[in-house]
Amino acid sequence: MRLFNSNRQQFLKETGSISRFAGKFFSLSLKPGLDFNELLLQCYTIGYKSLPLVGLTGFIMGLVLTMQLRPSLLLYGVESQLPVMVGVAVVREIGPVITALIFAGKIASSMGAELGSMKVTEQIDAMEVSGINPFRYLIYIRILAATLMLPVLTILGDVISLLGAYIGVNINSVTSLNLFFTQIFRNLSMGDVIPAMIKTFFFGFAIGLIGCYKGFNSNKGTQGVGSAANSAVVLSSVLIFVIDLLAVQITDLLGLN
Amino acid sequence: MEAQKQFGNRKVTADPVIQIHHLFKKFGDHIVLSDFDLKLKKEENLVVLGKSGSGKSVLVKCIVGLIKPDRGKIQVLGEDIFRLEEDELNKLRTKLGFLFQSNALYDSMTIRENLRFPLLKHRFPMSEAEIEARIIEVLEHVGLKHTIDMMPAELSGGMAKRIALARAMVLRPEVIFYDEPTSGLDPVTSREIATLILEMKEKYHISAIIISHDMACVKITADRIVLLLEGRCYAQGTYEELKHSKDRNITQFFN
Ligand SMILES: Nc1ncnc2c1ncn2[C@@H]1O[C@H](COP(=O)(O)OP(=O)(O)O)[C@@H](O)[C@H]1O
Ligand SMILES: [Mg+2]
Repeated sequence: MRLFNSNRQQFLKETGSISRFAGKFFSLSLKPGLDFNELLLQCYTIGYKSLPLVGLTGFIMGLVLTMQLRPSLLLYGVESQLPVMVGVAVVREIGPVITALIFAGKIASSMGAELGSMKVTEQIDAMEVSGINPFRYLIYIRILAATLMLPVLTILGDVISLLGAYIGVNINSVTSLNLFFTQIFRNLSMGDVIPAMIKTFFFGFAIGLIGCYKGFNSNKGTQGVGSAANSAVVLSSVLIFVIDLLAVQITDLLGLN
Repeated sequence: MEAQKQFGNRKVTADPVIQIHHLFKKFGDHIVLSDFDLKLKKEENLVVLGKSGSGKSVLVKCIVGLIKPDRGKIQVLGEDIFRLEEDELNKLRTKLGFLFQSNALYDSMTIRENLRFPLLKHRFPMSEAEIEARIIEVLEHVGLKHTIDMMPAELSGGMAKRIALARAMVLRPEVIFYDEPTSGLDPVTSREIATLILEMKEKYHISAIIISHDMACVKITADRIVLLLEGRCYAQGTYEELKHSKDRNITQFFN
């Protein structure tokens, strides 16, 4: 019981300080003076770092999903609906979540490690004493870049995933690429695409926020940096699922399903 | 101030640059500073002497607002730093330089970018050419102009310390804080760094708080020494005055 209480206290404390961290982000976004070049550089780095992995995993997911779904559809004699099934699954759920998880593994950890080592080697203090707000210069830009880049990566991931699915379909039957995509897009509504896209902004924000928070509050020592990177990945991955759960409830309530 | 032993009696000429009253700071139950007072005069090199772990770094970090003390008052260049808004504090900080014990160079940037960074971010009315000239000037001052395109990881300990020194002076501060500027360096390099610190005062009229227990460096740089012991200012005086004291707590540093 003692352990539970102290854990709960720890949890509440952490939640509080992450919220304050997020609050700082929003209060900064109301102020002018965004360093546009730095933002572009961060977006580029983030995108460049995660695109190969997002592409690879997306491709494999699309391919495997198609191959796994075929027997069930065959059983009910609706094999021709395979592209539609896969398309809906990828666009609504699998694409956003897989991309976000890969992004968390790649970006939250590198933000945690990078900012953590800057913290530990007093580089962040050095910035602060020279009168430069490290939150504005380091954190704000990174969170914003993560929020903006994840949706872009998700779209790319979705497309590559569907290409994988196309190959999966073609293993057993011959369809043209044109027909495959026409079939998918004819059956996708805005209600499938828009909520899925909106939630990726939240995923991206959560990943950037947690990565930066963990790095910025990293403990002294090399172990501190390692555990900052590690807990950034764990916490942001869990948050992705929590947001996903909330998102599906909200779209349900709004009748967008 | 009973415990404080006063040596010599020099007159205060101008307003003090830094004034600290009754500073108190603890971490958990561990009291680091208790009722600490200090005054830094204009163009003075003040050495803070104290054992490892006695709170010297905590003291200077309190002065620049990196650590918030529990009680006490700190005035820097006439401003009460805990009363300032963030923008005002950042403006004041451009008049302060800080040399970290770990150098704290930005390791993802070249030396040029390290020095440019504070100049650019403050949007001083400086042209590209003026910024470049300033960078060259401070690098020449520390004798490392040729390292301008190198990365911090390529520098030796002594070179990194000089670059950190160059970065601390690039905004032309009025006060510089040196946190153990010679620790971990060989005696020859230490003496060179100490000489550079002395030059800062003589050439640029910078006031300074120097944290050190390297007595060779202290001897070269110190106008006045404050001994930090058990969270208080235990004694103060010039190098010679303290050296010839009878108190073991003081003389232990001189052997
Ligand atoms: N952020 C911190 N949290 C907890 N304790 C600290 C912190 N910073 C310093 N201390 C403690 O304060 C004491 C003084 O540290 P410091 O000022 O770094 O010593 P030094 O005189 O060697 O520079 C040490 O005992 C250290 O453990
Ligand atoms: Mg120290």
